[in-house]
Amino acid sequence: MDAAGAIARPRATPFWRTPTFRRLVRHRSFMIGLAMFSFVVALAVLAWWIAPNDPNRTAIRMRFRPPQLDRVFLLGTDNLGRNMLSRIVHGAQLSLLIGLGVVLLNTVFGVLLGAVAGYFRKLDGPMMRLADALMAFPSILLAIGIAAALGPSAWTAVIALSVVYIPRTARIVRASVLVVREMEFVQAARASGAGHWRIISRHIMPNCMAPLIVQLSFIFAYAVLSEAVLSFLGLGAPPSIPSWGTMISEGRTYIREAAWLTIVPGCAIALTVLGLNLMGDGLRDVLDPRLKIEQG
Amino acid sequence: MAAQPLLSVRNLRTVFGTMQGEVTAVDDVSFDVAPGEVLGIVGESGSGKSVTALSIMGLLPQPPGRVAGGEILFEGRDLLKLPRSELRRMRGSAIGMIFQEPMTSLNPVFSIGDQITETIRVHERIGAAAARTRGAAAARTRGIEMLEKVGIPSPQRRIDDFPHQLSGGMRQRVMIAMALSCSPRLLLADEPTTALDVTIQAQILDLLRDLQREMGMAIVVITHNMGVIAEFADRVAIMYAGRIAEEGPVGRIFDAPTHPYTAGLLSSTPDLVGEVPRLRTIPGTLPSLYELPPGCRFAPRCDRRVEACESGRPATQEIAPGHFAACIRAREGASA
Repeated sequence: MDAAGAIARPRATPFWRTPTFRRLVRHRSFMIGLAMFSFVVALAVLAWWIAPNDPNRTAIRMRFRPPQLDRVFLLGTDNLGRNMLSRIVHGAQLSLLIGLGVVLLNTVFGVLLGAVAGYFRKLDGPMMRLADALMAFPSILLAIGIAAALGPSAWTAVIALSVVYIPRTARIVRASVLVVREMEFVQAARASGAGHWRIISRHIMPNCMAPLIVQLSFIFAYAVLSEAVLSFLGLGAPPSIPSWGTMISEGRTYIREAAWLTIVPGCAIALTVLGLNLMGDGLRDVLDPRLKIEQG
Repeated sequence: MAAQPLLSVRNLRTVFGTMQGEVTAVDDVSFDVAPGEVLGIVGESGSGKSVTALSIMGLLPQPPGRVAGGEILFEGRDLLKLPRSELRRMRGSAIGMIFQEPMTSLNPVFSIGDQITETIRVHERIGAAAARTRGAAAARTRGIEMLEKVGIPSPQRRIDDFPHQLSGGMRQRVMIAMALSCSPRLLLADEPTTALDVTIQAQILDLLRDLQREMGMAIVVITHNMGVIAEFADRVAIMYAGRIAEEGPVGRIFDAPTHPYTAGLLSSTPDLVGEVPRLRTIPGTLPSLYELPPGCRFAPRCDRRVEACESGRPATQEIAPGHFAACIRAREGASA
């Protein structure tokens, strides 16, 4: 027997050949959402090439140029003559970075807290009551409060939004952990001498991924939306960083004369959030068939 | 006095806290398992047999479960007094366990090879540090050996299969391979064949028998199936409502049961030889743990009940060497 050859472990099936992937590709609204979101990601990544000029460069003589079919003035200029296209693509960077930051913090802390609460039953009560307390506040009000307390900045927005959404993620994770921890293979793992952390990380968490992934895609969408709200209220990134929320806020004054100042960033937010939500729905349909039936 | 038993359970009492107060699921249970011996624990659902096994492993769901008294001596050491980390080290290496449901006892997201080698690696990490460097490859080789040992064809290919690719019988073989991968000296098998087809049941029992002889381990097999006991066990303990009703060598128990409950169980099982008469049943049901009868727990269903049965727990008597029964009329039964 050619021992080495026979014993070598075959490579794992690549993701693009799994049934899950095939179902995702066939899911129409997921693919539409993916296209929308990819478009926004492309704008953000290629911002330095797409932007005709510095998003903060003012040109008073060129203010209020309406959108036109032109490389430079495709989306027009704002009340200070700043190029809207430049501002939109740089605003995409900010929105996505903040969304990504919130998702990352949610993944780390939501999973950690949810797993601990679901697994160690004694900690469950106190932790979930704390989560309830945080969730009792209207989410945007809580974010405003935290952002105001910490002082406006992009990091503040990430932290404030994470504090708002981590309890939700933790709850979702906890619910899955509660189900999986009672399964027999967890008992079997315990019987084979595995410790708590090994059981959580190897046996419970991998079986809780589907609802978590779905939840995170929605949280990304909420984070983008809420960041715009915070910026709109002046609690997000400073004015030197172009942000969709700030753009709407500044354009509001001129909504009758120069509606594109609010419509264009509004559309950018809508496109991003809709794309992410469509992706989230698709992921939920594919990864978590039970939820689909329950929600009709 | 025989050699020191491998496992000695002494006056074990396990209770569960419930809304209606505390109930005693296992009440003053004692038994011994010698090295290399197969002890069967039989009983109806709810008689406390699984709780006994979980108590031994320290795997009771806590709360609500709790061992309220007694000793569980494994190789002379009381498992109940061991620090948690030490008990964890013994699980899987000195004491293995297999479960009833092969369909749900394997983690669906990992290949069976990962799961078998995990046990090996958990204990290697704790044990010999030198093995760690070559750990992964060595564990994989060992995993393939184990699969071969439990009769899985072409183990080199099968080791990378996922649980959903295997049948129930195959999964139970994998479970056995996992439980035995560190050569435990004691295996607890909780209803190992209940969820399987009859033909597969026989194969799994044969397999366990062979492995038990080969590895010289002791097995505690928990079942409600007298057939499994007859085929597999050396000695048997019959549990009723949290207590051991009768205990003895399988041959004696089957030929000359002295406890009326044992007799009832046996006469409600069809014989393969001779005419099959109408099977007898035991009237009534297992008493609720909330309202246990004051004396002998079987008394309300017993056809040989006398007044004395209802006052006080019947003492366990040695009917013959190694044959015990908790019935005040046991001696009459033996001759009957």
